[in-house]
Amino acid sequence: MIAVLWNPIVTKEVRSRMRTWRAPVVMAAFLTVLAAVGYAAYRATAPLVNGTSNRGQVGVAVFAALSATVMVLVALIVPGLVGGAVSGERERQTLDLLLVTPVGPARIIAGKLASALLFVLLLVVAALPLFSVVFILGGVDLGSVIAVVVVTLVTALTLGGLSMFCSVVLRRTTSATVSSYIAGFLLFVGPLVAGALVYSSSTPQQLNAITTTPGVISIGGSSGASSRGPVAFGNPAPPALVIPQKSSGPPSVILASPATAMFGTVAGGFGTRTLCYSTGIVNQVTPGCTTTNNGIVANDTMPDGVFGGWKYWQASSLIDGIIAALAIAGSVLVLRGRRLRRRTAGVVA
Amino acid sequence: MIHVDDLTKRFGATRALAGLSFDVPEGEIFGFVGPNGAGKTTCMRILAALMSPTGGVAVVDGVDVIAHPDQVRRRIGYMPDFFGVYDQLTVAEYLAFYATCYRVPRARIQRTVSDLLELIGLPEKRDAAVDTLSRGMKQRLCLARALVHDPAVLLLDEPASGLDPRARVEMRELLRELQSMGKTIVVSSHILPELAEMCTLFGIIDGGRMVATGPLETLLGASAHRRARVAVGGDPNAAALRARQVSGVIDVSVAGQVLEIAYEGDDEESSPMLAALVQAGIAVQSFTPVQADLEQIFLRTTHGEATA
Repeated sequence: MIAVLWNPIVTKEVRSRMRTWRAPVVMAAFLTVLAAVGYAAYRATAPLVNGTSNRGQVGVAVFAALSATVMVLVALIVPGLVGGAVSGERERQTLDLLLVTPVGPARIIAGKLASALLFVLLLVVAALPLFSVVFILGGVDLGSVIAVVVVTLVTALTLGGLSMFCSVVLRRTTSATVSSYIAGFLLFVGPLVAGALVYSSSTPQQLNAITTTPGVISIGGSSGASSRGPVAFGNPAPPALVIPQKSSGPPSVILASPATAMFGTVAGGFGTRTLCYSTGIVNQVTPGCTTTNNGIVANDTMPDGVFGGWKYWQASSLIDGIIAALAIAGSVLVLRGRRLRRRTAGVVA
Repeated sequence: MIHVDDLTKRFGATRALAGLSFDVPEGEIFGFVGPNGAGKTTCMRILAALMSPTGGVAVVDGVDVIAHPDQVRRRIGYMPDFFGVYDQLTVAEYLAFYATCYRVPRARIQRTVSDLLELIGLPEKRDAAVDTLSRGMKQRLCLARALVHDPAVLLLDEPASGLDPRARVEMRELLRELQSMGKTIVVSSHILPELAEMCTLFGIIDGGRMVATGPLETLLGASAHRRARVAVGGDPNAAALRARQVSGVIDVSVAGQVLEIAYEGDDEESSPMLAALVQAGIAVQSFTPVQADLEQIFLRTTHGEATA
């Protein structure tokens, strides 16, 4: 695996990339936007919180804003990095020179992707000082930071894989890059639209159930209604408030969108934490909310379905990882088709 | 060293190669000559394992190109007719990159790069950016790139195209030096005088088929007809009419007072032809046999293909 990734292509790509004026400009712009968003989030939430005990809520808001911005910026940068990877070699007439060497298509593609991901990693590492401000404010645990980093890198890999496929299939860099952005857009939005369609085709009773269940907000607008039976507010439950429901978490299809992973982590994990509290049922866990080790509840878990019990970001990263693997495998196969295919013929003396 | 037998390649309806066969023994410089679109580049790309043939056999150094492309890649150095370079890299980095691609041991890379720069005469450009080099220098650099793994066979597609006369001479001397190092070289070109001085063996390709092969002398001797310039007195058109009646004459063209006569036979038969012309009543004032050269053979053989 390391032999596949650490190859001459990586060295060459990183070297040539970092020598252009574009690399420092992209980095500077990335950090500027990130800092501006972080500051805006701080200024917007800080006046709403009194006292130092609730400062964690400001930290949560700043963290959510920074994470979402990193994801958006990475999604904008990656197709630009990878879209021209192979089509650019073809346009510059250097692809043949590479294909006559024993470096196979797999290593060419792995090398190009690895170098693009290294640049993304550099951006993420450069952004860590900004993220560290969140720790001063508090409210965010290390696990969430790791989740955000993993989601960001997996998203970069998936977008990179899709862009690579565009770059291998299409001859011109311009069309490959444009297609890469379209593919990235579809990756983000497509699953959510599909999820909404699945959701809207569910029964009106379920819809009604969701809207009348207070205090629970989760991804896709679905309630994540209890699989443990009727939910009642207040103890004991008045029979009139018991709403029989079919188990219905958000449709699994939305997990394919990296937005779900990010939203499920930063908003589902923290934004609704407050909502979980505000229902006033600290002892009784609201459906879709889970209890973390320090006793607070978060709505970051798929309540049911294939991925029931998984965190959003875990399930989403798995699905996007599979999409990335398919796109990369497809790219290798197409590029291999451009080279001579091995035939099972004997050696001619 | 190179064995090609009945190689065919189709691109949809077009036939780029139609049963191409030839052999190149070890240590030869093989001049691959043909008009544009004759199939030179297609053949080279197949030998370089960049393209699979529709049918036929291609063997390089005893290894079948179709069955074992990876082994062939290690044995050949390929220089395409059109190529680009990576900007942002220095000359030394450029060569080192390809050396790593060819799995040259890390410890040997710097030595190899220095030796190659010495060979192509660019040691002072070691740390220059690749894209600042002139076209001739890039051409030589690309040749050095094809040599990083010390291949036994070199496939050079139009290495002299777009070069000024001086750069061309340098390229020619480079190839001679490589031959003295024991490499087998295939050079394609449509610049015939270049190849005439450079190559030890020739193959003339047209319409995807080999129409003539051999050393220059064989090709010149084997040509089916000779040419002579005959200056005549009187009406040249009447003389041309008479000349066409003479047996053995293939074609007559008129240029002022001079007839260009193509006729069958070799040098020994030029005096019977002169005698026959005089006998036919043509006032011959001078008779100059035209020495056939590669260019003429090329034009004749390939023209014959085109009209057939």
